Formats: sequence, C-alpha cells, structure tokens
Amino acid sequence: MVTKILRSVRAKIACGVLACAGLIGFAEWASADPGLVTQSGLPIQVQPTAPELGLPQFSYPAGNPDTSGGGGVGSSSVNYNACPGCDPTTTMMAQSWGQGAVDAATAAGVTGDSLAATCVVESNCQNIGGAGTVSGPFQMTNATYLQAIQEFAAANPDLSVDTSLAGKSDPANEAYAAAQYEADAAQYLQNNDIPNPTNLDIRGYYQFGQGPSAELAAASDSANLESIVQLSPAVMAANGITSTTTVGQWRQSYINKVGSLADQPVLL
Amino acid sequence: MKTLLKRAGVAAGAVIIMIESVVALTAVKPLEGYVCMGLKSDKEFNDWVPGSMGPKPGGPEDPPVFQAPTEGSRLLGYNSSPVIVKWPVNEVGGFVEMLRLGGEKGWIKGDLLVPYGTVVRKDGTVIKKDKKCIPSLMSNGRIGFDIRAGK
Repeated sequence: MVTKILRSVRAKIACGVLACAGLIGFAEWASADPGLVTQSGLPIQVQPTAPELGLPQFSYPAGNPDTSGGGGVGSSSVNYNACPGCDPTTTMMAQSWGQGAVDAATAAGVTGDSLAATCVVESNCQNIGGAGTVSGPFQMTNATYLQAIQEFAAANPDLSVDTSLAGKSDPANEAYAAAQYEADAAQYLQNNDIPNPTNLDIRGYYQFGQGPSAELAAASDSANLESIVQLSPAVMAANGITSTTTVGQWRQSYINKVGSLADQPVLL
Repeated sequence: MKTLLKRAGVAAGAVIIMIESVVALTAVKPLEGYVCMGLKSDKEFNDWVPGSMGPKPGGPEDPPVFQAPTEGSRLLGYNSSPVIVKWPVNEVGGFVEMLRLGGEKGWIKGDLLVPYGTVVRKDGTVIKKDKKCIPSLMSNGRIGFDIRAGK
C-alpha cells in the first residue's frame, strides 16, 4: 500500500528548481514531530465480535447519504524518512536469539524484518516484562502466546517447539508465536481485500487486535484514531493515545521506530 | 567543477528522495453511490479481555462475502466493519451488494448490517457512536475510508 503511495508521489514529483524549493519547505514542515504517541504494554487484544442471532432489524438510512467527502485539506502527512538510521533487523540480529527469530519467521511465512520491526517497537528486542501477563521481546500476553504457539506447532510438526507457557520465556520460542500472529494478521487483512499487507498494515492488528485492523489500515491519515479503535480512556492513556491522536500520528510513531521497514510487505 | 556538479546532483537526488517519502493517505473523493455500514455486534472494542486472542482469520466472526447473492456462489473473502454498501441498497434474496476494498463487487447478508458506528448489546440497547464514515477513493489509488467525528 505504502509502496503504491510512494509510486504515486514519485509520479507527481517532477519538480523544477522553484518547485523543489517549495517542496523542501513542505518536507521540513512534515518531518516535524507531530506530537507522537508511544506504545507500551502491547499487544492488546479485543474481544472477538460476532453477529448475534435475534438482534433487532435495522432499516437502512433514509435520505441521501452524506458523501461530502474529501478530507485531504489539513491532513497530516507521514514522513517515511523520519528514521533514516533505524535498523530493526540489526537490532534483532544482535540478540543471541536473533537468527532463531528469523528462522521462526521463515517457517510462518513472514519476513524476518517484520519480526524485527515488531520486537523493536515492543521492547527494543529486549526480553522484558510488561503489564499483566505481557512479556518477552514480542510482548505477548500469555493467552495470545499459547494460542499462537499451538497454531504454529500444529503447522510445523517437524520443528521442536515448546508449546508450554514456560516456553514463552525463551525469546526464540516466543518468536514462533509472534511470527504466527503476524501471519494471521496478514491473512486477515488479505481476507478483507487488502493485498500484500505491509508491516505498517499489520501493526494495527498487533496493537489493537483484529476488530478494527482493516478499517485502520484503510483509513485516511486525518481520521481520529480513537473513533476507529474505540479504546476506553484508561487503555488509551496506557497506549499514549489521546482523544485527538490521528491515524497519521499513530502511523508516524511506528515509522519513527522502524524506518523504511514500515512499508515492506509482511509475507514472504 | 565536475566534482562539485556531481555532489550537487547527489544532494539534489537526496532531497528528492526525502520529498518523495513525505506522503499523506488522504481521501481524494467520495465513492458516489456507496455508503459505509457496520456489522451487528454486541461488543464494543472497549470490551477488552486482556490476554484473549482474536479468532482465526476468516472465522465465523466476520461474515463471508460472495460473488453472487447466494451462498452457493464463490466465496470472495470475509469482511469486517465497515462494509461499503451500494446505495441505494440493492438487495437480492437477503443479500446486499457491496464493494470490497480492492474494488471487487460482492454480496453480503443484509441482516448483518447496521448503520455505521452502531453497537447493539445483547439486551437490545443500541449505542450510536459519534462518528461517520465516507467510502472514498484514497490518494494511494485504493478504496478506503474517510472517517470523521460527528453525527
């Protein structure tokens, strides 16, 4: 998706000297820190939603729908060069379990870079604790880990995978579950007709869960983040999200940590 | 002189690369003839269950989208909320025509749809979030959502 954005922008930029000067000014403005959110204690999962039988019937909205769209004016831009020195892969590979994580990613069908991006954002690739049952370089909750590790083990019977909760303390073993979770995220977005999901696309799934992830991936930068993820005020605060945080600011906060990996495809 | 020119060229290239990477995903124009609708659910995303994990992708939680208004037709995939529904509604045999994010036309069961931003609880109470959604052509050439606060 982002690659397409870049292509689109590239196609539009054929600037002369004066135009370049103007764009440089724009670039400087856009690269300013927009008041970024931070993410901590992640991932958070949503309660699965399900259509309930017997719910009241709705009539379709009457009258003409509001299609006074646009939304481009005043939208925040996202700067994909915000972190030129960012190298999540090197950070992950510097860990004793780094190569094991790459192998886990390959087995799950995702890139090693995608796991590197996740561990950098979650913990700077450190095997640390978090809120509640969250722990490890990929900061998974126990329940999420157990479900994902069992799914991974079932799909890879030839690999030696510790499916017990104790196995979560081994970063290479947690990487199996994180890689599976990323693969699930990519598959989910593909099912929603978002082809070739990027690391940025699946970030919403990893952080906010499945429910809002497709809407978030397809939302404009100017959209209000809270209106999509519908977090409670307490959870919003824990995630560094205010009531005015935009989707663009949230995307930028991720890019600021992973750099150009943000627009790389997740799947091998 | 040549060296200077070369350096200037490299610098200019770097500037252009930098400029190219400053982008915004914006709604370019609304998709005429379509509206956003939600899916019935008794849950808000606020109902976090820490440690829970979402269901398998493509599971029963997200309704299937078919190529034609019948369950016997080809399964195109699944759809989460919001659903981009053809407007005025084209309903055939209980299925409603919709548009997938990739631009493909599909059909989804109409009785699963509610106005966008609506949550229906098990006790029948209905909550309407103060937000609206306009299906739009986005600046990346894809279909997306222009989501705004307000009723």
